[in-house]
Amino acid sequence: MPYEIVMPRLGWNMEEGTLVEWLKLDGEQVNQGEMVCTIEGDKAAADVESFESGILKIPNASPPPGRTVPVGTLLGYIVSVNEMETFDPNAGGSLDGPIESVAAVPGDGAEPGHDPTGREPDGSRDTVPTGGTDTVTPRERDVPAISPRARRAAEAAGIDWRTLIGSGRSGRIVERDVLEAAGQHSQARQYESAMDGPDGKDAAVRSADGKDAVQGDLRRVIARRMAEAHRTTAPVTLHTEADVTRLSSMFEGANRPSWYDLMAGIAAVALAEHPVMNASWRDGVKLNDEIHIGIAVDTEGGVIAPVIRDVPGKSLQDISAASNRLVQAAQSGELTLDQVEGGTFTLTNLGMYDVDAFTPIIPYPQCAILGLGRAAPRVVVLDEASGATGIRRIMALSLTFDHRIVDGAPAARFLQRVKQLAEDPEFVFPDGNSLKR
Amino acid sequence: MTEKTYTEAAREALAGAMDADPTIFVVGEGAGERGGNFETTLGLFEKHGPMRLCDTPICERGFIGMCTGAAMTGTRPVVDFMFTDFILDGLGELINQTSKMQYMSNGRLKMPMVLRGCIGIGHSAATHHSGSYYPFFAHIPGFRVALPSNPADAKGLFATALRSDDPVFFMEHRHLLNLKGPVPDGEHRVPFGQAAVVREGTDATVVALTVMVHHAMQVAEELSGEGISLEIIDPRTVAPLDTETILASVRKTGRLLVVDETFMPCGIGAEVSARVTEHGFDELDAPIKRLNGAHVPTPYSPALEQAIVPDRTAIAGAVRDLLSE
Repeated sequence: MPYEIVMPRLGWNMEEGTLVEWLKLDGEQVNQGEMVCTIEGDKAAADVESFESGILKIPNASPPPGRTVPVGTLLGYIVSVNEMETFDPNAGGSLDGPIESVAAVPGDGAEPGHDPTGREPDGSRDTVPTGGTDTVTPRERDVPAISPRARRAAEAAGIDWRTLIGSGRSGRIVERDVLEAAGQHSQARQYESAMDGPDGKDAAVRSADGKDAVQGDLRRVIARRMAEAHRTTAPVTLHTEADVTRLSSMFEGANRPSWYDLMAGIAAVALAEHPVMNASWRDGVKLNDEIHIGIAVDTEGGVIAPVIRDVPGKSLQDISAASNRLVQAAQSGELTLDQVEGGTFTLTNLGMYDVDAFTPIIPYPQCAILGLGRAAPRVVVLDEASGATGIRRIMALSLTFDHRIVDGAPAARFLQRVKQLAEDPEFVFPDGNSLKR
Repeated sequence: MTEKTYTEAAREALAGAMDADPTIFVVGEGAGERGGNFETTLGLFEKHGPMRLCDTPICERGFIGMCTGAAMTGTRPVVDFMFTDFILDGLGELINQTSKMQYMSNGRLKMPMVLRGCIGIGHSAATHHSGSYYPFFAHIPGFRVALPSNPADAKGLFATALRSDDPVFFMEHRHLLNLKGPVPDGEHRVPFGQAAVVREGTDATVVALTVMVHHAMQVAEELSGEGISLEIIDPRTVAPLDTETILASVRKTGRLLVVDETFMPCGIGAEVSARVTEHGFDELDAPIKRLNGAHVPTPYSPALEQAIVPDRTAIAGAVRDLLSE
């Protein structure tokens, strides 16, 4: 049997991927363990390895490089030399096969009054077609429901239906939703072509270094994931303020850690005490043993949240080094898949833009995200009895959590703990570097 | 074309066939001199006499067995049951002998037998005279089941039944017996397994059986005022069942409702739904819906009787429900 190469699933949330390029030519010999093509998933690219030796055959229906297709889509075959004579890569797997093919069902002809064509002696016919259509992609939980007809229409129109909002019962996507989106889609295309520069390229989006496609894809991925999180989670945002005067003055000098580094350490200590805040939703609440904290980084192509792994096992210096590497990789577009997946909690920071409180969107399937506001000097009451006031650095904290996973009071206790720890940095970093165990 | 009632149209087919084919004879309670309880054989006794219009006592199992034997000898019995309910008294003969005889004789024996009777709820005929039961018969290999919904089809399907070499159940809804409509003059046959698209539309397909075709047509007319366009299909026979016409319609509309007066479980709606799901899954934009009479014995009380049968309001509600999926 020829070995099928299909679009692999690189990460838990990956639903579709882009065939970037073939590393072998159609008809070329491929040895076991060699890379045959490069594909791109949600956030990173990877090479696909052949587990068999043989000749690469690329069927006509294989997506052209650059095309985004659902996970599981057939890309090509590895065919052994002795199978090559008889193998036709275009023979099977057609999704548009005729539904009306009339074939004899074995055994049907044995019954008197039935001949194998299904024709009755009196010329009437019990018209049951024996052909059928293949189901295209298995539907996963947490993907919106879509009618079979709408799915087919979306595929025909080249629309990613996972981003659509369904108007059917219980939010099911039905054909009219796809047709409506297809109308908008073609409007967007017209707009794009109106924006085209004189060379026929889209001057507004394209850049000289050829990174345009990746950026466009990242935007699309962000759009889908934000919409998915927004639709799937039951988000609630809590706000509080922490006095971070000591935290910000504790680490001065050239290697000063960033707010992300400090708050990752603090969050890790608080998460260890409140494990449900470190949970994920996977058809139910799943507690995570490890604490991996994502940090949202603003890049040219859009926001991306690389992950600092095993934060409790790191010193503040280690955290800083890891986050510096991740931020640089994000900004130069060089993040790998393992640098972006597996987060269990996320930090996002808009304080540098003078934002105090906001309502971040949960990086689904994580439970929560902590938004850092600016740390600004404020006049505060230091002692109510004496009426003493003073100037302190106050940071606004915004915690959005998924109410399906955790209720308001436990989430509030977690946020309160984060506030306490931020106000007591010596507890979190006892020697100024190691994390409190 | 001549305007005739449903019963007159079927009788015309019988009279024509009896003139042309001397092997046809009718058996039943009141089928002879009386001309049939529902005038199914009116005037034929005078013409063909007691040998071909044979009155029987109340002994369904006996005359079903005898007619099965008669059919094996090359004649064409028409068994007139008045009410389909009483076919049930001969189920052992029918299923174990009548339906299997062609198979067991390797096709040497034919089984040209027509079993006719009224079906349907709505005349305070109570629970022994209101049955439909056609899904039973459609389940058995070898049987044909015809359900005419109008006079022209009553004539055309009965004419086809009288020329079939298989046992045919010809089931006449009591609400339709006096329905008048244009009927083609002379020889007129409607082939089995050929559904009629009785109204074309684009928003949803309604497959309706026998009397429900008329209710569905009225609902389609009412809803067209709201811009809802229904396509209505009358299968006309449920064995064989013309799946292709239904699929072609679902390809157009993406939505399907099956309206049937009789019980829902294991019924024609279930069969239609399964076939469309199997062969037209990607055409569907919504779950397939069924609307049936209540799954209860038929009450005598007119008020209760009305409550258990789908009416226009129920059909319109089911259509709206389907469209909001």
